[in-house]
Amino acid sequence: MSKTAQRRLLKELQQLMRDPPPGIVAGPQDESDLFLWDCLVQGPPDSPYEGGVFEAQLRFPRDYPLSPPKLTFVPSVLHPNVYPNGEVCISILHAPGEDPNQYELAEERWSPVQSVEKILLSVVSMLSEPNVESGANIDACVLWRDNRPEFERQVKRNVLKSLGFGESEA
Amino acid sequence: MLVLNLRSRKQQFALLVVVIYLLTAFTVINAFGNSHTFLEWTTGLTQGVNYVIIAAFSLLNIVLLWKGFTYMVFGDLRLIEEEHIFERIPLTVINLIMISSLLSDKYMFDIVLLGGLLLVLKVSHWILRDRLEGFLQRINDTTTLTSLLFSKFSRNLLIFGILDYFVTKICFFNHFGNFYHHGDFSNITQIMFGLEYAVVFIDLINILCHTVLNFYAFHRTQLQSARFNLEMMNDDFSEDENDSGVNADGGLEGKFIYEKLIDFVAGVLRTGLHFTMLIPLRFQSMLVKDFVWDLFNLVNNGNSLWKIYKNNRQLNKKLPNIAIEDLLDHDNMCIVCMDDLVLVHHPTKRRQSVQEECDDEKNTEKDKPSTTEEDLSEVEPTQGDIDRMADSKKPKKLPCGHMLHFSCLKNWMERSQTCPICRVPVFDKDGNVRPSIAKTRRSPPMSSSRSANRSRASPAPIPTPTLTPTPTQTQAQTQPQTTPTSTAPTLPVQVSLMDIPNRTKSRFAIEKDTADDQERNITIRFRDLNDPSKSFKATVNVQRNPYLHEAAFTSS
Repeated sequence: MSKTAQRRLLKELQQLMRDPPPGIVAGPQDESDLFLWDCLVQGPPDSPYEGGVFEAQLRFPRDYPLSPPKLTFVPSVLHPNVYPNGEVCISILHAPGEDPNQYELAEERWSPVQSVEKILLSVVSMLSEPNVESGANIDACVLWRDNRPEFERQVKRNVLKSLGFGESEA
Repeated sequence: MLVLNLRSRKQQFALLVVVIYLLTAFTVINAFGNSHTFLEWTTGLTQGVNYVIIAAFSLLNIVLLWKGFTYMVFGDLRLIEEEHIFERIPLTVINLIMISSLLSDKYMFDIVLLGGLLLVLKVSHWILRDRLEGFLQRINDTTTLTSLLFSKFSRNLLIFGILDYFVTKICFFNHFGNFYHHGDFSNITQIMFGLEYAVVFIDLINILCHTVLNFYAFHRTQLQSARFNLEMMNDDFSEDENDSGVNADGGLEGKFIYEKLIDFVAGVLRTGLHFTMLIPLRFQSMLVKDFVWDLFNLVNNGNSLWKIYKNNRQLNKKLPNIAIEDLLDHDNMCIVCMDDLVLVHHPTKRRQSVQEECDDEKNTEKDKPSTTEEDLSEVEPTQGDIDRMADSKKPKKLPCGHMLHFSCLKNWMERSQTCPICRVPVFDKDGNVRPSIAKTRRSPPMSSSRSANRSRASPAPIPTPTLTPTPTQTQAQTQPQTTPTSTAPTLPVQVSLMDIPNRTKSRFAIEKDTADDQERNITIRFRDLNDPSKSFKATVNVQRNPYLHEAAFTSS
């Protein structure tokens, strides 16, 4: 495995521990493998995700930080920009270079300045402000756009469920 | 909810299958009953609504067959793979129809057969290409080279390689055999499809080359990490730091360039093939279009590849080394590796007090390599330190004023010819370094730029709980919260630490729970069930709002 990547991940881990951002916890799943991290993201206030704590996995490529990691919610979260399998679709997690579809600007994509902390903060902002124009979960997009109360109700129920409350309490 | 939705969609599909099957059976039997001869029966089946039903039936079966086929060969398709298929298939089908329209309908059977196979192969290759990426993502510490070589992916690659090769060969042989025996050049069906198959074959070789390259890089990395582990055991980290510059990144240096090169060579092959086929196929318009398109892409790719190559070759010469003055208003950190930009060789005593403070934290990570550099990080570097660094590690200054290690910069420049921090292009059109535009610009320091300019909406401020992980159990604890602003809190306040997600909850037992009224601090002590020697203390400050405000976890 790549030494640069390992060292950089270690630095980021130390940075996160020394100066932890609010509402975010992240660290390697297993100390022997720095390329797979577990993260906990707090649902941002004033959003349907408020009060929730969402688990996600960050999988780093060998050539991190030159290539972006993959972020997957486990279990998946109902959100327009999260694929039904949990994979998060935000532009800063897309590989650098020109987008063949000219969909995103190069500035919006991955670069080594990004870090675990920034990714997770972007995810928090994604949770509070979904981008339905480049949706990943079409059902969630439609629901978000056409039936916001129902969307919020479903999200809230998921939040409660993820915290260990049964459906009856929702 | 999502699962339910999916299930209902599956049910819908199953229902559709059953209905169409029943309808078809009904139609067949009905037509059979109404007719006296076989001919009458078949004409009855292809009339009016019967025809539609039969068509739907065949379409459905094609879909089912395809699903079965992909499931057998590839297993479940990933979402991205399905997306790619749906994105590309319309254009491919139109292309195929246009090719078919060029051919004489005397050979209708050939056309349908070869076209169908071509479509299947093309789609399979798209999946194969996506699989490679997913396959490489899954590599972890337990992966060995043998497990890579004898994986399902390699098997599929082999199967499709053999298939492509033979189909291409048969098409070409049939065509030229025809010509040889009958002197007949009018039937271009075989050669037209042969050409398409050859293109698919080139595509496969392209994927194969990528695979081999990645396997080789993996092998190299493994060798290196074996060496690295050995060095760690010998504990000579400081020395490692110095000579690691030559091949700092591990694996294959410049892999990205090689990958581009492979694509370029594949492009050359494809263009060459289309060119040589122009004459036997008498300049068919479709072919000319393909040729022109290929040539256009080739020139573009070649150009950018050459530029990157040339620029990177001269990167060292063209970019200035930094002088010590540059560090005055700049963090001493390289954004790519997050190491010190200039490595300081003489630690002074100034750092010691800070060091002691951190000792607690350090204890838990004694075995981690970077603590040694950590201690040095706050010492002022001098010009001598810069001069002492290996050439490959020397920090370089970009036109925008940002500074990076040369080796880190080089790896990035293979991917993008822009500054990784501000994305200002490094070179102008003629490949010269742009004039410096940085006079007063100050790079945003990585550590403190939480609110750094992000293109998407910047994160909403999160005023409430700070979750501070303990060094050893970083991902273990957190807590839900309610904000003071919400008039009707959706969650009970008491959920706090008790309701950390289930998986985590099972691992901890709360030992003590004391509330200090004056300070409005609640201290909770809990113990890791997996490892009883570890215990944690959580202090929850509820001073500023009736609910939780801040939870700081400190190890004890």
